[in-house]
Amino acid sequence: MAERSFFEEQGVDLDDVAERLQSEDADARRIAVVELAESGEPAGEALLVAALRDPHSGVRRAAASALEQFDGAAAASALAEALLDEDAEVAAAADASLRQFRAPEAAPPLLSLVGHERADVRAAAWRGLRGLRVAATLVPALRALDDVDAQVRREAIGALAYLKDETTTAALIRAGRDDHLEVRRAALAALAFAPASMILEAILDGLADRHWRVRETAASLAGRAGAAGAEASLIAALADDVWQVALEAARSLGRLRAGGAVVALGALATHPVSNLRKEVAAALGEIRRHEALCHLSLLAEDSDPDVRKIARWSIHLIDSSAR
Amino acid sequence: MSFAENPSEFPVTVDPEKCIADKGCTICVDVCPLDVLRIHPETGKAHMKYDECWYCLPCELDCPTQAIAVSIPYLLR
Amino acid sequence: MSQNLDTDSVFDADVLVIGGGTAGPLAAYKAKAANPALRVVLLEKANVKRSGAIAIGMDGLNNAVVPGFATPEQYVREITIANDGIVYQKALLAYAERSFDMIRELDQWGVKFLKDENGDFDVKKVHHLGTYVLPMPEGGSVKKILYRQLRKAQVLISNRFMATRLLTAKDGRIAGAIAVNSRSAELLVIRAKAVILAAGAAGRLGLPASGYLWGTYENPANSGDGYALAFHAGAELTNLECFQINPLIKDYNGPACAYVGGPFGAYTANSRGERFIECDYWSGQMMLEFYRELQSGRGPVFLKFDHLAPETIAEVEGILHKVERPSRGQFHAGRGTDYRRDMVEMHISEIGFCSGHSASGVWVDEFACTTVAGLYAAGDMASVPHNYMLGAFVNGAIAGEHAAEFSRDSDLAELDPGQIEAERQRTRAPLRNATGLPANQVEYKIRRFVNDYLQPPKSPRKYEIAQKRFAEIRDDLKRLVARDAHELMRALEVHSILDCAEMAAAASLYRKESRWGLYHHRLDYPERDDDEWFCHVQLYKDASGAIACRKRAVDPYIIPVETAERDAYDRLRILARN
Repeated sequence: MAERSFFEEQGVDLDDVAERLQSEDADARRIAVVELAESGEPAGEALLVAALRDPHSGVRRAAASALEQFDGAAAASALAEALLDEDAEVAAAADASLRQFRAPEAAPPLLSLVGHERADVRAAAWRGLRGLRVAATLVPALRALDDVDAQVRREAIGALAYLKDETTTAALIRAGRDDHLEVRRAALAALAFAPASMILEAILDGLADRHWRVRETAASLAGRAGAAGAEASLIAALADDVWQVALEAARSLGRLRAGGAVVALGALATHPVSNLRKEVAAALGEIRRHEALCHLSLLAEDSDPDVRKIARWSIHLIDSSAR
Repeated sequence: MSFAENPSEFPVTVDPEKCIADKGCTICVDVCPLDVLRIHPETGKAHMKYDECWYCLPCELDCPTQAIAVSIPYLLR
Repeated sequence: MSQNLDTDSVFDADVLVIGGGTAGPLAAYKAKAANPALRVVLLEKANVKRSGAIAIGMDGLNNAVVPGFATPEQYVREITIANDGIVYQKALLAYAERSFDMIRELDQWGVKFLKDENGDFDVKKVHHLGTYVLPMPEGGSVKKILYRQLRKAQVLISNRFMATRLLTAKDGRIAGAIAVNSRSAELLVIRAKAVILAAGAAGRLGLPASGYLWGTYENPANSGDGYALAFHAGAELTNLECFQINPLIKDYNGPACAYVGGPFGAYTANSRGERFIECDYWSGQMMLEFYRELQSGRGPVFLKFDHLAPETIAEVEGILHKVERPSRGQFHAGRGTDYRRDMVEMHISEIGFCSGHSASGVWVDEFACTTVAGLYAAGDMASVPHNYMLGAFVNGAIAGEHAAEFSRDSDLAELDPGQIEAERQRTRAPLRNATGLPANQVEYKIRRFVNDYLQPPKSPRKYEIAQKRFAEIRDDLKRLVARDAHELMRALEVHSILDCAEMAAAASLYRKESRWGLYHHRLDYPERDDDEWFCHVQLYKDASGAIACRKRAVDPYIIPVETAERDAYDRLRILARN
């Protein structure tokens, strides 16, 4: 019986697509590219690579998007070249596709672009390299931390962070003092993999940063890394002008079970922002100190039900740990 | 008084200049979860045939030539 | 239309999957992966590329059980408590144990989950006791990725076919299904050794407050066909009185995404800008609190962002306006709403069936088996509670693997020509009517009655009136008229919608207590009654073809829920002050 009428066609007729890709009409070529992309046909890769050189930017863009499914050396080479396309949308599509890649074989063509004269190309190359997690990126990425362009430095941190290599710690700490806000934030976030003892200084610097988003990131890092040495600075951060920083500090003090923070946390029990009071209630529970109960009983009568819930739960935690 | 056929503002509009359905593209028709789009037999261009739009946007987002605009149905606007 | 309208095409498959949205693709993929020699057919009413609840993507996992953040046992306990104890724990555990492997598999396929700077999953804490939320800020391409996997696995994809009835053998086991093409009205008979139902929620049960038929919370293609298919094939459905009702953005009727905004500090507030929800978990209890606030002098309810930093709001907008329901930004712009300045008005959704957020559905065990031999169910229409997207993937996978195994040991069942003829008559009728009732009017009327009479809080007298109205409308179904195949699909959907409405009414009347907060809040039995009703309510088709209900005891827990633990949890959600 005629199965064809019921089911989508399996695969795709490559000869037919190849012929249509030679059409005079750019729209016909574009439609052929889309069909090829959807077929998932592995043998279609070469045709899509060729379509990246199409005179019509719409066809090139469709081909660049379609190549995201061909994680490997050939597609990576072609897409790396497409990062230089004169049409910004084609380059953006190539950038997006490269970010899907995981195969280490995709690295060489991207590494060859990390020294490119255009900063946006260098940044895109680093974005593509991050997910590949290849050791060969380590040295050039460290070098890229001194790039003149902030976006490049930020993306290079991403590639380094995925490697989780302790030898990069010092360089990332240095990047934590970068002029650019987003670079400092990324560097601090990247350090979460390193042992607390190695990154304490960066955390303390970050907590003293001039921009609140960096202080917020540093406060969060302290808890994630288990940096007990940051306790005093975190307590100071509870008084930060920006409540978001105080909130992360409270969360980290809870994680660190910082017994010395109870009084300072308690002082925030009447803070106007309920998100912060909620975090304070949670932290006091995690610290599990009896002297927190007076603050928690106040928080258990808070006007905000989330704060009350957490406070009650924290009281329960303290009660049950005392038993 | 209400006529049996009323004028209506349809949520999906297609720019016939940009639409390449006449050359074989059927993407918007394929991706509509409610199957409300068709290729017009006379113009060869895509159009909204059934007024049953969930304003979900795949037709607009997936169109290779950005020929489609979806507006939120008037009753919800 | 072609002349073959009345001649059936018959196709034989090993495994037939009905529904190509979320659970269905995984079921088909895993059945094929388990045995590449199988003929696996995936039937989809729309097009698999963009269909079902995640047609446009999904902005996060709400129930990720990731080592280091939560354990399967902890998850099972919490879902047990959130569902007032009425759960089949083995199915919950089966999901929870495979949750993380599924996340990793999806990650390998290219589905993008939020990762921290070091590339590890960035799970967010939203609930108080466990940590289950894994955002997907770039989750717009999920369907594209699934589709590609299906093509690679050479699953036979059949788009634009709406399954209208399952076929059963003399001994009651599954024999296949009948489907109608929504473009040509062509009938397709598929014989299959195993059938997996993954047809999604019943999203067109209630009418949105806007009155717009297609302005539903769920993808409106999810018209509840799966529930009707299962019922007519003799499968049991469970806890249908536990409705789905969700908080959402008023009029737009899309999800408010508190799970997306929550980790950024946004929250649901009353008109004073204060939080009011006591309940910790997504549940009927939470919806009852929401409903009461809406009705109170402190209402209505809003989603509040305006206390957050502009940088944070920009980040949230980047997710909410791009993934899952991307027209949301356009909606807010049309009304001049800016998160930096304005709270966003919220409302509660129309009622529906959906295990994704509640606990109702076609009864399944830990292998996704229904009570009909060879018939499976997964996703929003199957009874595993709080499934969400990840549950649909995992339970779809479980169903696919089990069905592959089942089909190896069984033969195609003999078809019953009587069943096929009856279904031909039913599905042809709207095309034969030259005049009659348009589907949208009949649908509007059913759904308006659903709102008028079935929407909680539930009053028994109103329910009885609804049943009378529904019976009258059932008589009208034969007058439905369809001028083309598309209208035929809509007319047949009306049959499903009416079936679901009647099932919702029957199950709600049967359970004479209140449970699951707003979902089953009965005005005549306002209290929970564990002595009589700590059980599932099973709904099925009796010998006369009518809806019948019976109790099914809750199976002994495999993960015990300690009283102390339950009390601690209750302390979180019971009002400490008035």
